[in-house]
Amino acid sequence: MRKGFVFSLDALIAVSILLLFTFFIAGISFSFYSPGLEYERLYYTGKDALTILGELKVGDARGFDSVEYYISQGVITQRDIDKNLLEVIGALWVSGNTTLQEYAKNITKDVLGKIIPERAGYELLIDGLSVYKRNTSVKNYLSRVHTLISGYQLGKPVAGYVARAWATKIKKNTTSIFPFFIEGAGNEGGKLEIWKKFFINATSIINATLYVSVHYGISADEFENLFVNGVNVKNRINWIHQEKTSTGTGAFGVADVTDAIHPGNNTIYLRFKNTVYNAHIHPGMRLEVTYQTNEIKNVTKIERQRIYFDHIVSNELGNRKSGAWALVPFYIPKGAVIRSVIAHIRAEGIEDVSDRKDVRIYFNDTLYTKFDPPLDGVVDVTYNFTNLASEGTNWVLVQLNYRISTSWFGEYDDFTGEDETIIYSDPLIDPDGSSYIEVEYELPENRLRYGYVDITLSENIGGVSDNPKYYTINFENNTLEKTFVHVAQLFSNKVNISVQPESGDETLVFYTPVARAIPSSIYIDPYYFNTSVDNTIRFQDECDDCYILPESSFEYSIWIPSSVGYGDVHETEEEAVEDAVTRLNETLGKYAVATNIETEVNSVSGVPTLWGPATIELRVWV
Amino acid sequence: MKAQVYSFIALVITIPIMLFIAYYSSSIHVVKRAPFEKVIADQIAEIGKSIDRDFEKAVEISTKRALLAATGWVIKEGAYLDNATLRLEELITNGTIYGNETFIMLNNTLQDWLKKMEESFTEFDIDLSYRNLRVKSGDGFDIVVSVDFGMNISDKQQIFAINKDQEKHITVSVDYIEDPVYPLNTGGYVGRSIERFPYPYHAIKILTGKVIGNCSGNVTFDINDSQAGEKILVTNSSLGVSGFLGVISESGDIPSVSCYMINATDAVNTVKYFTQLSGYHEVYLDNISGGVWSLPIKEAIEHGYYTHFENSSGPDIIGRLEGKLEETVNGIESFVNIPELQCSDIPVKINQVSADYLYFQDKDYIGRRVRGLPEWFRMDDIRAKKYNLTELME
Repeated sequence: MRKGFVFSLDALIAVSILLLFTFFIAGISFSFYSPGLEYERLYYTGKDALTILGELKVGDARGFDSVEYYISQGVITQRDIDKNLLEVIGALWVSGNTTLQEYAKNITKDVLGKIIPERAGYELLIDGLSVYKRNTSVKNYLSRVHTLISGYQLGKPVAGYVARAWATKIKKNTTSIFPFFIEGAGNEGGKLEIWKKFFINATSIINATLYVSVHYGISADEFENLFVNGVNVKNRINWIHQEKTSTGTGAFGVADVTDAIHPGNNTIYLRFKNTVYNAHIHPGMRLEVTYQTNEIKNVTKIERQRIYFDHIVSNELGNRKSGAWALVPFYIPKGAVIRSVIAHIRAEGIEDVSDRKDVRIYFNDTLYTKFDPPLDGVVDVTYNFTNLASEGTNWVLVQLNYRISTSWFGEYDDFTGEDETIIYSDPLIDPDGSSYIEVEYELPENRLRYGYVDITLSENIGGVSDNPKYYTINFENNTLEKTFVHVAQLFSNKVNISVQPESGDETLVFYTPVARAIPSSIYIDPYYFNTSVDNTIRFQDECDDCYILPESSFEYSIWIPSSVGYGDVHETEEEAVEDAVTRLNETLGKYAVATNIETEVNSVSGVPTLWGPATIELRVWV
Repeated sequence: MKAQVYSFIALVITIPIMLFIAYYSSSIHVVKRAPFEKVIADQIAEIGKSIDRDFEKAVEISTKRALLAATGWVIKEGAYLDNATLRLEELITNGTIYGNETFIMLNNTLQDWLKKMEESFTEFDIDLSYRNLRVKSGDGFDIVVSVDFGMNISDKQQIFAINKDQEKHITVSVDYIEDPVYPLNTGGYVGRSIERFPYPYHAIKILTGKVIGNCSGNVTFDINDSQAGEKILVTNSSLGVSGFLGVISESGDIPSVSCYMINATDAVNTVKYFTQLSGYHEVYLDNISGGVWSLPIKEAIEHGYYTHFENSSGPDIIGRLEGKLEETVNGIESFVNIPELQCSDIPVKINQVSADYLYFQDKDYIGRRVRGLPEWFRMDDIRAKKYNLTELME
């Protein structure tokens, strides 16, 4: 009995050992089919598939029928050859175009179908939206693999075109001011004749106003004639200001000459005399023309300007000798490097009176030269003032048959001209033979404006005649190219001009160094203005009774952008160009006639955008 | 006693088995849990790789746009940049140039990318950074952006993490970027984008021999070509040939044309080889150098393609943004098209060498005419050698 029990116990232990061993073997087998391992397998299947999509270049994937087909059809272009499959699928998908999305689906199906085992289902999603899904089995286990690609977003072009545009030709409304220089010298009844000839590069004239500022004799008849292109406009003059003195009448008037001014060549002729003094132009005489033009200024570092003298003929009257003089201003912008300032003077009828030296040339306030003319009385000389010129307003004064002692404008009885004294100028027919000043300078870099068009505006300073007189202007943040003042006075002595921006210091920008030498155009460099605040210009004549007239004008040129930079990225070049042109028209719209803008565009292709990043997800399940 | 011994032996056998089973059970648990942890670790690694790859892409996109923004700025302002690499770095990082925001960089800076990336992964903690961004010249058609990129990624439980700092060098193509030198030297009226010269050579003398006359035109091997008057026939025999602009013949028969080369050995195969090699079908017969030339350089002149020469080219895009019109080691150059300038009323320098970086200099670089190329085109001896045009210089 006891023995049997022992045997039974042994058998039990043996059976237990066998059972434990059996469980052990079974346990091992069971563990290899755990959910974790199955998931891991799925995950790696998905990961490998996504890696292939992300690494395989299109050029190396021609073995896939769909890839080869779309290359042959031009859907996948040469530009895509170096991209990986994921980028191509992504680009087709985010286009938002259903046809292209179908292509993305077909490539996905073709490639992943060959990589992922048939027993598994899978789905490729871009930003949560399904590109392609294969349903092959019940989802017992699902693995998800992600990657990111920047530059992809549904409905946005992966790479596209940007364009900039600039106007090569526009119609703009602008203003030009043609000042009559301070000039004259019909002596004590001798007639003074002045011709101003000029060219207007206009397609049409909008408005033309002639401001007349003269010093003639006692009687109004002494202002004899005023013709604009052959049209007598003398009777159109509205004489706004007049003052009679012992030396004659200072008169200022305005005439509308819009109908008489033409695009192209123009000539203004006036004739007047002063029986008690010499006849001459006073400050403020000018023609202001507002017109439409196609002209676009070609911006270059080197600026060259030629300012022509007016043609002046001073006639002798009996023993009243003739003489002529003219003060012609020019300007140099602040910071410009002066390359040359040349003056060419041609004069006729100059008398060779022993030792009088009846040709006198001044540069600014200095007598540069004086000499006796040749026997034929014709003077044709050229001077180089390059080293004398400076920033701001400069001028050349020519005096012929007319001598001064201490003041260049004081000895009105000292004339020597027989018959006519002439300052010759005909810029329209004989530009090189005419009297002129030619200025060439190099603009500083910060003054160069590419892609801008210049618009010149002018306004009278208004108010009442006064001394000192103030004028305030706000440039509304526009970029200034240049500004001038045209001071109008019945009588003048020495005018000083200063500028004071709001909350800024007052700066003297011009002063008259010699009595009564008020240039017809006084340049004020944009440097002195603050374009974002009010600026006050102060005009003051040292002579208390020498009032500044409200018809004095302020002329300023501003730069308006005539180009637009690169804009948004567009899918096609046409869209990018259209966008650039639209932006350009909007920019120019206020100042130019939009329908007449001719543009050039430059487009850049293949511009990528940092859209996204798009999340690419591959789900695999069994 | 014996039974006790057996029982003891049984126990000795059983206990290790029990212990092994207990250990194995716990191991099974670990094995069951391990795949999930492994996957998480792998996911982090994958995200790291993905971010790493995408960072390079982001640098490329951002730099390409920065180049556009910089050229756009230069053209609009009409002034070159003081320090192009510094301004490009500013654009890539902040989207500004001289502190001014640019439209084209809006949402396209590296800062924008970092922000988007950190917001994209909510399941992991991601901390990305970059520093020491430097822009350098590449091979003329590329620039290289170097940057130190830092990446820290971990799961929310901080069990697995990647901490990585690496220096990256990303090459960015300047293809199709506008060259600012042209607009700035033409008052903004002439623009040109950088496109590589697509032919394998600029000029090559493909046949040598006696040439009568000078002519240039597309080749044809068809004696019945309907456009014979505009083409140069390449043939085995020129016996009785007439009506062509020119003839290149392997035989010694004199054709009835004013421009020809006869006794040209293996001419048909040679011309076919070069036209196939280059894709350029025009040849020039030059009686002075005595040969037939293939001159795809004409396409560079006409279409404004850019070329890079090892050791001596014009400035690269960095130099061009700074207006440095000097010869460089890794630059590019193109030819100024004089008629194009004249169309825009730009004053031209008649005898200046046509290479852009010399043409636009204030200094005189007088060149000479080159036979077979446009009348207005000018080249000097140094450049002619580079382009293999020495024999064609007048």
